[in-house]
Amino acid sequence: MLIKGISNGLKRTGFTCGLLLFIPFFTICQQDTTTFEEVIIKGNHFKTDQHTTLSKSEINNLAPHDLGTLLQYITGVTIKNYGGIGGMKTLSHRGLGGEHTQLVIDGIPVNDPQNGQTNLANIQPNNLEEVKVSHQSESNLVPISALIKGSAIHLKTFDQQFSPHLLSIRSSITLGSFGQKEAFVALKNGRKRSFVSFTGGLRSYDGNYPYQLNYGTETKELFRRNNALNDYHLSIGGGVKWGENTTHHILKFSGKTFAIDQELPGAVIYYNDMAQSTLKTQNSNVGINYGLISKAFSLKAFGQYANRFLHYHDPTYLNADGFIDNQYTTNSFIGGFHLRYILNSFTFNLGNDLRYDMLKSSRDLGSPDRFSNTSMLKAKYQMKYLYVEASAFSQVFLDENNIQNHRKTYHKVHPQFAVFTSDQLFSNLQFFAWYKPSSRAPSFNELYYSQVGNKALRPEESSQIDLGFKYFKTFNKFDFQINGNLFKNTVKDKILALPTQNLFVWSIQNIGKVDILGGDIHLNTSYDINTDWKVQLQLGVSYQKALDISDANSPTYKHQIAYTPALTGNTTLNAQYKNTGLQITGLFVGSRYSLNENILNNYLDPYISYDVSANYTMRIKTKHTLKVHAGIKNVSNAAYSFIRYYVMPGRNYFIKLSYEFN
Amino acid sequence: MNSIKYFAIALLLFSSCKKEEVTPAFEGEFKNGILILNEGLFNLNNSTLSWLDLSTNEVTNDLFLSINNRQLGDTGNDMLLYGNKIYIVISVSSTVEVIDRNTLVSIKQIPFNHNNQSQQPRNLASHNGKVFVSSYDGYVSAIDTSSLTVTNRIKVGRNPEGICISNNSLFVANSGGLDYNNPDSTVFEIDLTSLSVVDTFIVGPNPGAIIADEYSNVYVVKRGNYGSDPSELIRLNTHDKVVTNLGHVATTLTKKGNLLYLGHYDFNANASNVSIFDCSSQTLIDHSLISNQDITTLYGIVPFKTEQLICIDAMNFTNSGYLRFFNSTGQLTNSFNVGLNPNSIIHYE
Repeated sequence: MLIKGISNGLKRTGFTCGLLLFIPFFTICQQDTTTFEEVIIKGNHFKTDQHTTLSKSEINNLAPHDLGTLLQYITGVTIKNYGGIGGMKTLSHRGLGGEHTQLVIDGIPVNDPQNGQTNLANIQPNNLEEVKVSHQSESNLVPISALIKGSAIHLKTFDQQFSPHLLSIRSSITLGSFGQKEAFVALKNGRKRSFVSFTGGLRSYDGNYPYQLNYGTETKELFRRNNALNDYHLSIGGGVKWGENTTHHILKFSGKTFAIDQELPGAVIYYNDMAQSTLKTQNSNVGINYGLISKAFSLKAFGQYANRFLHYHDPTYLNADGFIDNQYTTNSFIGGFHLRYILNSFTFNLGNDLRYDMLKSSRDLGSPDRFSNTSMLKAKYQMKYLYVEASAFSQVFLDENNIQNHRKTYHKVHPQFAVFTSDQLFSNLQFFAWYKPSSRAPSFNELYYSQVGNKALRPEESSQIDLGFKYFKTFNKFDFQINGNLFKNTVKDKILALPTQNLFVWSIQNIGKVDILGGDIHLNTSYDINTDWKVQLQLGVSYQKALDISDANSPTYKHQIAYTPALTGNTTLNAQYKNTGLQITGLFVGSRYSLNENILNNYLDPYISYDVSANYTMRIKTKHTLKVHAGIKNVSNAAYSFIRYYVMPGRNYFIKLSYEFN
Repeated sequence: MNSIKYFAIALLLFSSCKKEEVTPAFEGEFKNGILILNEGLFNLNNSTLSWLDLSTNEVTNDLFLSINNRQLGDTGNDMLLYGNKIYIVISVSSTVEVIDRNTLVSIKQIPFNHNNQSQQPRNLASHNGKVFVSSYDGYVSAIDTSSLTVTNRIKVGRNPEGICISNNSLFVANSGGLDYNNPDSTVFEIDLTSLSVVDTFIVGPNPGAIIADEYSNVYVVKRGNYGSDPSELIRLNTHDKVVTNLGHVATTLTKKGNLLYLGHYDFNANASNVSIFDCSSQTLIDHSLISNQDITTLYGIVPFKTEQLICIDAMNFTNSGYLRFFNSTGQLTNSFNVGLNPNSIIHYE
C-alpha cells in the first residue's frame, strides 16, 4: 500500500518539478487518463491530496474476495463483516458509520438509498486497477457528493480507462476452498482517441466452510450451511477524447449489471441450524462522464441512472402465509458537475450534485422518494509556505411518501477548512489540518421499514478535525514514507435502532451522540536490494476511542460504542525475486463489544488473521503475461467473528491463473 | 518477517491487558434467593440465568453456563417451576431446557422442531403431571413431566403466546403477532381431558399475557397496535362466556391471592406504571403504586414475600437489566443489576 504524494509520481517519471505548471498534453498521452485532471503546482513537491491508495499489483497480491476484504488493508477503515463469502460487509472509517463514506466508481458516486450503506461484499475486485480512500482535498475533479462526506472510496476499473493498444485482455480463473469458482474476462479495444471495453465474470461458492463454536467448555467444529452464492456481472464501456493545444475533452459511457443469488445463513444460533432464507440482488446502471480541461478551466460533468432490485425470501417464517417474500426496487438518478478555475495563486471550485431516489416494494412502505442536493463553493490560496482552503457546502434533503405526512425539508450549510504546508517550508515533510462537517440522510429503511421506521428522523451530523503529517525520504535504494494523523470526530443525532415496547417492536431514533478521539500511523518502505530482489513492507495502526456520550445518566455513558474496536492494525510484506513474488499479510482487530454496554458478556476477543501467498509471472514476448498465484488464507486457522456469531472461515486455500495481453 | 512478528506481539500485548475478570462460578446452595431468567437479545445467544442471594445481596451471573458447561441459547422467553424441575423455553434456539431445581443441572434439552423447522416455543403452564408449551408455529404441546417427552400437539391459532389453566381448561392467547397488519384476536379454550379446542373468544388484536383467578375469570392483555389501540386488560368469564374490556392499561400480568398486578410501560411517554386490581371486588384498588422516576422500562412485576414487590427493569433492552424492590407504600428499597432483559424469576425460600 502506498501513501501517494506527488513525490512518488515525480520520482518515477523523473521530472523536475519546477517545469510543471499545468501540462495536460503530457498526462493525456499516458495510458491512465483519470489523472489527466491533476494540477501540479509550480515549485512544490506536495500535492494537497489526502488519500491512501492500493495499486493494481497490491490489489492482486491481496487476492480479495470482494471490495470489503480489500479495504481492510486501508489504515483507519474497519470492515463490519457479517460472515464469510456472501455475508454483508459495511465500512466504518475513523468511528463514523458507513453512511459517512461515499463510494465512487469510475468518477460516478454510487449509493444505496434503501439501506444507506453499500454492501461491499457485492463489489467484485477483478477489474480494479486502483482503490483510493480519500479524506480531504482532491486535486482530481471528483463529484461533490464525495467531498462533503467524511471520506470517499474511489475505484478505478479497467473498463473505463483509455488504452493505446488495439487489444488488451485481462482474464483469470480462480479456484478455492468451499467450492469457490471464479472466471473473469475483460477485453478492450483502444485507439488514439477512443476505446470500447467489455467485461464479464462469474463467481460461485458453496460456502460450507468449517468453523468452531464454543459451547462453554467444549468447542465443536461445525459447518456453515445455507451459505451458497452465485453471481454474474457484465459491463460495457466506451470513451472518446478530442481537443487541441491546451483544451481537451473526454467523454465516457458505461453500462453495468450484476446479479447475485445467495443463501442467507444468518447468525449462528445455538441448537438451531435451520435457516432457509435467500436473497437475490440485481443492480444495473448506465452512466455518462464528461471532462474538459484547459489552461484555466476544468470541468467534470456526469449523469447516471441506477436500478436496484432486492428479493428476500424466508420459507420458514411463522406468519399466516408461512413465509416472507419481499421485493424492493430502487430507482436513482444522479447528475452533477464540478468546475475549477485557476487564477494566479487562487483556485476556485464550484459544483453541484443532484440526486433523486425512489423506492417501490411489495411491502406497505408507501412509495418514498427523495431529492438530495449538494452544492459546493471552494477557494484555495497558495502562499509560499502554506495552502489555505475554505469551502461551503449546502445540503438539502427533500423527502416525500404518499402514505405519510412528512417532515420539513432539511437544509444545512457546512463550512470546511484546510491548511497544508508546502515544501518551501519543510522539504520531504508536510503538515496539514482540516475540519470537515457533514450530514447524512436517514435511509429509506430507517424512515419507513414497517413497525421500525420513524419518519420523524433527522439526518445524522458528523464532524471531523484532523491534524496530520506526511514524510518521505529516499536513500539510494531505500524508500521510506510515513503518514500520521490525530483526529477528533463527533456524531450528533446518531441514528440508532433500539427495541422499544418489547423485543419484537424496535424503533429507530435520533438519540445518539458519539465522541471519537484517535490517531493512525501508516508506514511504507521499499528496498531494492539488487536488480533481482525487492522488498516492500507496509504497516498501519489505528487507535480510536469512540465513546457514547448520548446521556450522562445512561449505564453506557462514555462506553466504547458497539463493534468499534479501539485498536486495529494491518501489515503486508512483499518480497519479489525476479518473476516470483511472496506476500504475507496480517490483520489485527482489537477487542470490541457487541452492544454499547462495555461488560464482559458483550466482550469480543481481539483476533489476528494471516494470509500467505506466492506468485510466479511469465512474460511471453513482453505483451503476454501469464501468472499463477496460490495462497493460504487465515493460515493460523484462527476462529473469529467480527460481528458476534457471524462466524468467519478457518484456514482456506486458493489458486488463481491469470492471463493478460497488453 | 521479524518486524511482523514484533508487530503482532505488540498488538497482542496491547489488547490482552484489556480483558476483564471472569465471574467465579456460584458455590453454595440454592436457598433464600432468587433465580432470574435473562432473555438476552435476538441473535446474540445470550440468554442466561442469574442468582440473587438474599442473605448476602450478591448476584451471580451466567449460572447455566458455569454449571452445565454450555450456553442456554437464544431468547429465553419463559421459566416455570413445577415439582422439582424448572422448565425454560428458549424461543429462537427452539428448545425447552429442563433443569433440576436444586442443582440447576440440565436434565434434558427438548428440541422444538417439526419438519426441520423451528417451532419457536414461547410460554409455559403446568397441570396434572403435564407442562404445556405454546409455540409460534400455532401449536400447544404437552410435555409429560416424568418421561420429559412431548405427548400431544394441539393445533391452536396464530403465534400463541400466553397460556393459563382455569378449572379443567387451558386458555391460549393467539397473538398472530408475526402478521403485523393482521394480528390474531382470539383466545382458545382447550379441554384438558380431551386435549381439544372447545371454545373460541374474541378479545381484541394481538393478545399476549393471560392469567386466571379463582372466580372463573381469565384475564388477558390485548396489546392492540402499539399506537391508537392501546394495550388493555380484557376479562373473559369462563362460565357465562362474556368478554369485557375492563379499560385498564396493562402490558404484563401477575397474580398473588386475589390481587392482580398490572404492569404497563408507555413507550411514547416513556412511563412505567404499576396498578393493582382486586379480583374479588373487580375494582382497581391502586392506580399508580410506584414512582416513575425509579424505573426505566417496566418489563414485569413479581409480588414478593408479604408486602413487597419486585419490578423488573429492562432498561433500554440493550443494557443489562435490574430487579428493583419496592415496599408496600411503593418506595424503592433496593436494586440489583442482573443480565440482559430479565423476564422471569423464581423465589427460593
